[in-house]
Amino acid sequence: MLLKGTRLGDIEIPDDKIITFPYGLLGFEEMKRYILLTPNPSIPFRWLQSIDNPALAFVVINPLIFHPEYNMQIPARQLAAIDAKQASDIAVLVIVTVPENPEEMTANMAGPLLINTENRMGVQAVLGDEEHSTEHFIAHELRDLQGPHPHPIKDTLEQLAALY
Amino acid sequence: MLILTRKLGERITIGDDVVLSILEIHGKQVKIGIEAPKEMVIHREEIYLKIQEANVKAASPDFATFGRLSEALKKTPQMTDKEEKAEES
Repeated sequence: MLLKGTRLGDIEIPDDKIITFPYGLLGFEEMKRYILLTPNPSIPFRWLQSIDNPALAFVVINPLIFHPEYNMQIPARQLAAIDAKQASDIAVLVIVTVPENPEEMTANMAGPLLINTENRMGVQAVLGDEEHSTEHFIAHELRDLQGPHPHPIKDTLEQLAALY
Repeated sequence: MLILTRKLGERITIGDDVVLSILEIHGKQVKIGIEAPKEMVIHREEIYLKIQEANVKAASPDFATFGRLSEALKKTPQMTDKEEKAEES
């Protein structure tokens, strides 16, 4: 399928790379189909592109890269929403807000995206606790990691992402 | 809006498969039990709204912004605008 008019131009979408969020993302409930792209493999960010609305996209990152102890108490009903049987099937991404000054970029740690790699279904979890912020500053944390470091679920992400 | 008065331990049924139970009342706080189908998404409203707001703010960045991210990772630490303002005040 050729997706026209995205911020990356026209992109070819392989059907088997489509990720479906049955409930969409909060505030974007109508947009259910996405594709995860890697526009620049040398940085840890990915581009989550809506298929239902080519103008819609998000910058996302695997939070375990900069926050290995990220500990989520995921409500069972949110796991049920993506039919997840075991935790190891789930890839986690968080949405990054990039303001004019990228130094002030923040990650939404309170609303992680959980993707079941087995069936490519996703859900935006809502962590109902005080410890996770919707505006967690990450530029410093990411810089501290520069250089070779393990990407714990890199393989899972690569499996999810499409070539760009 | 339909308004119902309930006592501790009483329940409200909604449709065929949703039941709300009043479990505890402590001053201004009420603990409510919710039985609903697994696929039904239930959130505390204030957290839901905060995440919704963060999503809207993050949505659809310019692709040039994405390009600037790699610069941000290379840069030596600098004060952010917010920190500068904090120092000035």
